[in-house]
Amino acid sequence: MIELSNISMSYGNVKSLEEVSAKLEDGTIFGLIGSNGSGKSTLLRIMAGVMRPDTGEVCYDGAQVYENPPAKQQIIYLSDEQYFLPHGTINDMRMLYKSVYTNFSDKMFKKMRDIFKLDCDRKLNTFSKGMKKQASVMLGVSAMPKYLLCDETFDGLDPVVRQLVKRIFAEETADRGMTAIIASHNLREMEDICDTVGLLHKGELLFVRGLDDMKTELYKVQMVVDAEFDAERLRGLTIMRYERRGSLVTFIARGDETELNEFLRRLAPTFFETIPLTLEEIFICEMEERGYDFGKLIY
Amino acid sequence: MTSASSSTEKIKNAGFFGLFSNILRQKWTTMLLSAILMFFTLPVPVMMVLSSYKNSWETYSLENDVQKYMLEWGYSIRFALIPLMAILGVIMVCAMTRYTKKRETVDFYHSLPITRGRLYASWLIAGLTLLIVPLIIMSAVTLIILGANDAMSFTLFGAYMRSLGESLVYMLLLGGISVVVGMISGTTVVHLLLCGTAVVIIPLFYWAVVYFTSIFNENMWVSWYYDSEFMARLSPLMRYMFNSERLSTVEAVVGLLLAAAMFVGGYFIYRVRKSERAGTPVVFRPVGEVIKYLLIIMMTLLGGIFFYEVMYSFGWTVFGMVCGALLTFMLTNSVLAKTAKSMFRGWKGLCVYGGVCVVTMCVLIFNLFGINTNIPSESDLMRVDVVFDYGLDTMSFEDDEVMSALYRLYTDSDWREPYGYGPSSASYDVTRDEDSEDYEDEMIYAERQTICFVFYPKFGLPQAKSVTINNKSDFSDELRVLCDSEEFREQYKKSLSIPVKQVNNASENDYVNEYLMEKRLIANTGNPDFHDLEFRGEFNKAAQTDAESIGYDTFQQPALGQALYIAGGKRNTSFFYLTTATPAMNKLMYSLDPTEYMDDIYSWLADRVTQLTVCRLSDGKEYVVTDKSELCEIFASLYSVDDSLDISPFTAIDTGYAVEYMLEDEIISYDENGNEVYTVENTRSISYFLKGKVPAFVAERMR
Repeated sequence: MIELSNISMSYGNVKSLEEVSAKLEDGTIFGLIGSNGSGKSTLLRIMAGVMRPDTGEVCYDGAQVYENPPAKQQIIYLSDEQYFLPHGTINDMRMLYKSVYTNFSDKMFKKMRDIFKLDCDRKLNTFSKGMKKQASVMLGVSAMPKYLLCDETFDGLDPVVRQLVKRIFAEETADRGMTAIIASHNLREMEDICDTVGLLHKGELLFVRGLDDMKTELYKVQMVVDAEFDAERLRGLTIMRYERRGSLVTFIARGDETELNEFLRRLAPTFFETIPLTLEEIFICEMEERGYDFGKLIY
Repeated sequence: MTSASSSTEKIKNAGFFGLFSNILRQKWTTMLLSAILMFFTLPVPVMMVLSSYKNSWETYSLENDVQKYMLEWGYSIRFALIPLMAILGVIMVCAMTRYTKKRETVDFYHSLPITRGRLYASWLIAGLTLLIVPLIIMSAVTLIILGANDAMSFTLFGAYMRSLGESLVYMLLLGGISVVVGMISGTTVVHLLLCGTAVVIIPLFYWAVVYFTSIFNENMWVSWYYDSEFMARLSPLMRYMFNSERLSTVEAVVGLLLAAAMFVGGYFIYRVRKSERAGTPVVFRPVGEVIKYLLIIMMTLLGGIFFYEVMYSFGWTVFGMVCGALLTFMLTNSVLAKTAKSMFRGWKGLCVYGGVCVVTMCVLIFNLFGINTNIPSESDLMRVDVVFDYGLDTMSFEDDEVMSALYRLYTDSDWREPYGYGPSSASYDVTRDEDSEDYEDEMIYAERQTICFVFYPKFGLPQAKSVTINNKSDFSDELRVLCDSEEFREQYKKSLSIPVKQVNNASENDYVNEYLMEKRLIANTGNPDFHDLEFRGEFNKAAQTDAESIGYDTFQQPALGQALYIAGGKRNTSFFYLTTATPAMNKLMYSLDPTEYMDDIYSWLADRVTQLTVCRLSDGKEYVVTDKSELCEIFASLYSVDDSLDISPFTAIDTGYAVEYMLEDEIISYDENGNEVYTVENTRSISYFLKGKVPAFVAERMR
């Protein structure tokens, strides 16, 4: 388990993180969402033990990460601008990783090599941005980490490779309980893969919620009603958002699905259906409930 | 050890050794480059020297002389090896700490399962390995080449190993400086700039402060502050440049300890250094400000000094100071912020600094608190060092009475008077004719003495002053206290010991011995008829036989020519020579103690006098001496009968009289066939009586 306790960090007069606390369970994929400058990279670097926070601590299974090699053995940090040995190849990097990570697996490396089909003897400085990202994922996963910290890892990957990487993460999480923390500003990207998401805004972690929990609590309903229909008739439901265009009413409600369906049947509109919410819609509702204009949070 | 802790240890060691071996693998080209440089520094020059020796036309036996021949190489290789290893040490550290200068590399390495300490150690040890391995290999190759050519000897091996050890000390010292600077700086360019600055800033700062202070400080003895031994301690670069002697064992140990302290210090700085500051010019903001103001202070001084030297004007000096401060402020701000837009950042601090400069300048210009002129009070003195001229060693005195005498010599003498004024007793200006001007000029020369003092207070910094006094004879009491002291005798004896020993052992055949000439005991004028004799007068007898009798009165003896004393055999020996080489004086030339022939000398001089006049300087009254016995008595009372007036600093003259005489002299010259040609000329000399030795008849006749 990863435990973040009251992490605060400043760069001079600029507060980057403020009292960030969270508990992340093992064997899950956590999506850290936030706009540019929200503190995602800073938080990941603190979690990787690269930086020491001004206050607070990061513990992995009870052990602080900073200057703790045994704790760091379990962690691989893939930064947004990954470093490679100058004029080095993937094989050179493999040697380096192998020399410092005792769990590095050549078998896994071979498997990754077959998946990504990258030339391991070609100099990395001749790779494109996307290929470099693939190489960093390849090496990172081959180190068999328990915790994989990814900063904008999907950025630069084509859709096919993106799905490939998501699949690898999901398999590793399912097979050996790897925990992945993925930082991104792309909600749609996180939706496919994350179990838990957290929203970082101006250094504050506004919330951390399981995606399934959010999806089973919120429902989007579209229904066709007659002209006399009044929104008052929906009293009894916890409405997060309501919109009417002519005879089409769309609303998002929080509550139990069965109870909601029963209510709607009693209401007897001309037509109604429950459609899945996107992560973005869930976030909008959640944030608006907290008094934030979500459009300004992410875009 | 539990299995958990042993696996922890394994993890730690795996990280260290893994990274270490990886770095060596990465940087093998660096090792190759170092090897190439060392190849052209060590084996190649040796092969070239051996080759030139073998091709030489000389027919000496190879076995013995090639070893002697190569020994010179063994002693001098340090001059190439030291700068090479020092520079490589700096570059190596720059390369090995480069990972701390970029965000991507810092993120990567600091995320690895390895502590900062081991990371630091693995990089630096790898770097040292990359330098030392090629050095060992190339040294081995060089020694094998020497051995194969029968040029190796134990002495050469020892000399080479010592040179090698010295170069390693310099490499570690410069590497240590580079490490500390590297951990403070956040970019490679600033790292290198600060390295260069760190190596020169202390001596340059010191030089600038002393020089600037000397502009305002009355009679500051600047050379003492710039003593090369002291300057050599201010920086490894200064040590190499100012002191060509090998490092002593103490220096090497101190150097290694300093280097170790710097490497350890660098680690501690690295530990507290924030990763996120990678890429900023100076990682610690307060340190950046300190460096900025150090540079500003230095450039303020250097700017002022430059314009002072060019224009010799206070206004231009201030202009230079302002320019130096302002330009440095703007430049360092731009470098620290990586943008020229920040060049005026912190201008309030500059204003405060300017205020401090103004106050400091006022203190210096107006001599507030007597800062330029004050010396420690007499009761505050712990020690006084004094140098009477550069032929004698510095002498140190701790006796209260002697220190008081020296104190009075400094405070009461007339060095504050403008150049050219004579002693207080010289008031002869009744008739300002040519003679009176000559008497005054010669007396000034006789009375003038440059003395350098260093006053050491019980608490505080020593003050070094250099003064030229023009009334030495007025301080005969003080000089007596000095010369009669035990401290003076002991220190003066040391400066005599070498020439006394050497000359006592010299025989007539050795008189022109090259060794003696090399030691400056006897100078070779190039003409075999002229010999420089060192010993003359009563003083010389004392010096030769019993140095215990040295005292003030020893210096109040007549001399045959220039100085009365002997300076240490290592320095310029003050010697005299006669301006004539008539056959009658030949016995003098081969004598070790010409005092045996003083009466002959005076008689010979008296015979050649065409005119001798004694002039009383107070009123210009003159008395012409013709009687031979009187002439001899007069010559025996003068401080010198030579026309040269190089007089000992401890000899006092009577400033009431001048003696002028014309001598018929034989001058040797050579015709086109190389034959000696003697010509007779009249030479004019002016001399003075020794203090207290004015012949009675002179005073009587002039009443």
